[in-house]
Amino acid sequence: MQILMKSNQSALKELELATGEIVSDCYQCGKCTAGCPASMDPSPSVLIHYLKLGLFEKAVNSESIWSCMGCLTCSERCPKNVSPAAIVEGLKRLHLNRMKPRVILHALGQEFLANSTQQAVVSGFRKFI
Amino acid sequence: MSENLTHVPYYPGCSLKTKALGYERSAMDCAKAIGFEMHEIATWNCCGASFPLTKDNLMGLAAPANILLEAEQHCQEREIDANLITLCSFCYNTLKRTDFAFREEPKKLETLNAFLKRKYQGSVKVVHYLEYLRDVIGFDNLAKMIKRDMSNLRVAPYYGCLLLKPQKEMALDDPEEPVILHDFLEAIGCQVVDFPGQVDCCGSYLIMRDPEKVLELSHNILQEANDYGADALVTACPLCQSNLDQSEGERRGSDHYIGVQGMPIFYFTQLLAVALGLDTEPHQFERHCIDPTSVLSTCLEDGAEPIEAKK
Amino acid sequence: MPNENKQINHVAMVGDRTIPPKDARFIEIYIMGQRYKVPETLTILKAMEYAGYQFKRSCGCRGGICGACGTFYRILGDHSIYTGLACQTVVEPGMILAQSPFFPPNRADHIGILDSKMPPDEHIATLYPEIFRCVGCGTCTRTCPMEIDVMNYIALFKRGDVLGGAKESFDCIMCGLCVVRCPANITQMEVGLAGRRIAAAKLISRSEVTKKRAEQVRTGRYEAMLAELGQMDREKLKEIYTSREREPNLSGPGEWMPKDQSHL
Repeated sequence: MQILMKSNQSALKELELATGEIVSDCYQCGKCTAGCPASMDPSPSVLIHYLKLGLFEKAVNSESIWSCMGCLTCSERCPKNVSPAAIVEGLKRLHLNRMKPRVILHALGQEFLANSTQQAVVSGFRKFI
Repeated sequence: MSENLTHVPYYPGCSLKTKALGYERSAMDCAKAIGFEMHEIATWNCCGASFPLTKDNLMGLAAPANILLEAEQHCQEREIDANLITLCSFCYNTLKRTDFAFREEPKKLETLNAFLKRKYQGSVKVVHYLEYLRDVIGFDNLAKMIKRDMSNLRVAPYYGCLLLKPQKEMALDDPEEPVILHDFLEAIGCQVVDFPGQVDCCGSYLIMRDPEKVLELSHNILQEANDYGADALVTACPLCQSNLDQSEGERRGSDHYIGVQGMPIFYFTQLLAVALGLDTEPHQFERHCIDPTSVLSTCLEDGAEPIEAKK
Repeated sequence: MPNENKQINHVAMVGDRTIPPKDARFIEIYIMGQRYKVPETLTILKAMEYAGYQFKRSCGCRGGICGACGTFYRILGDHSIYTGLACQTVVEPGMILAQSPFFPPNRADHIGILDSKMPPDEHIATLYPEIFRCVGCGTCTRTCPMEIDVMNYIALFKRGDVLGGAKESFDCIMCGLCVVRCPANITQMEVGLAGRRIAAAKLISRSEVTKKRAEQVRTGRYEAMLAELGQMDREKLKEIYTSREREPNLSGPGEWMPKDQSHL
């Protein structure tokens, strides 16, 4: 998906400004991946590694970012105070700001909408639409 | 009667008015029995159930800011301390983190204030019901108010994620080894089942996109609690309750179903109401997928003797 | 002959026949990017007609209640966006105008509301799930020309209070200005309409008085009276109309009864 019209380097800078995270702080200890309940592949530490290597397109187009459930275990455990959750959300935002939703709102189905708690619907919409 | 009860402003959040109505009712009834009264603030909107992790997203702070300024007005009108009590973990997280963001970066509040219907002055302190029980009432005092013998009930405390994380901003308890729900259960007289999955994520909003994942994560939590000997779980979050409870309900009849009756998941205030000897009929146990009353039979029996006040 | 033709050409231009009051000042406004001089006392609608525009859309009752002429405008030198009804809002110097005849709404299928067994809160959630995208920015409230707290009624629907939302949205004239500006792409006015319909069908108790009256009409209680009126000549009708008894304004319930009660 052609998301970016700019260089990998400037895209990364923009992501860092938007999220307040500094990717180069990560020293790849892997604690985030170890604690992550989502089966993310590429995992959080690998995603950050892509960004450090300048492989921005690879990171932003990976499917695994949509598996994040916002549990914040990665951010809590990182010894360098990096928040992979924030970085993943930043990457998701790039897609969502261009009106490319991950969930089709009107395909959600009556049963889901009638039975869900509002929390699930409201927070889900923030992350996927 | 109301004059003796401390007036505490209350923010419900959307789920507490519909799917988690039993949570609200039990919390309010327990509050009255304990000595405070929860007053819903007059005007409120949905908090957004999501604190934006990208720092440039101010729009995500607009809804919580609106709630905080309504709470501020509520307290100013009554000349009381600006404390806002919440029940829902998501709302607690969103509001508290918003408050933290405004204190850390006043410029954000300044920008939003130019946009909101009135200026928010930043005075509100967001408090969780559990926090109130621990810090204002005191678990020791709570223990003295207990009327029913809960000692046959083995309950596993399930914390979820947003009640505790990020610790720097939530400052409620240790996110890796929390004790607040443990202490609460001990105070009301239950046997506390400490189990590793107590801070594992239930799947949260993935229920919208990947319900299979939620099923898997929920099952792991419930199975582990069962393996450690729990009869039931308590939680403070309507989404955790819904994910765990509905996932369990879906597995009825399958090999993965926990025991014969399934594992009930209570809101902690529902259990507190039982322990305080209150009428639990309005607390909507019937709304749970897995019927909680089956495990309560030992302590809900009519004629059960009220226990001696603990010293 | 030539004069008669000229007369016919100008009939369509309503604004052209506007007689400005004596000493009325002329001000400059911008319509669709063009600058015009119009008398300062005119409404937007009349001013645009004065300038030679003919309204085939975006115009209705001209009385501030049908919602057809919802208008966005700016004032030269001011970044803000203002809203109003074109038939009610008086022009100001520097006003920048552009009428929009229609903005695409999302309207779910309201048919079936009467027969549906769904609880009202779930019903709204299934008809308009986009209300859960609301970020609480309040733009809709700021936009509404009827001063309805739109964000609040959406918030009420979100938390399952359908009756509350129905009442709060009652003054809505379906002008659609909120719909244009919503960043979450919610069609607030349709949500309000669905909410009012559900509330009326399920949540508001029926008026016993209305039921009684409807039954009376159905069983022909007023047929004779109507037939009598239908036979009357114009003069007699005028007479009985002008001499009719009227309940005084602001009289309380049950305070006043007519002297002639034969038709009650």
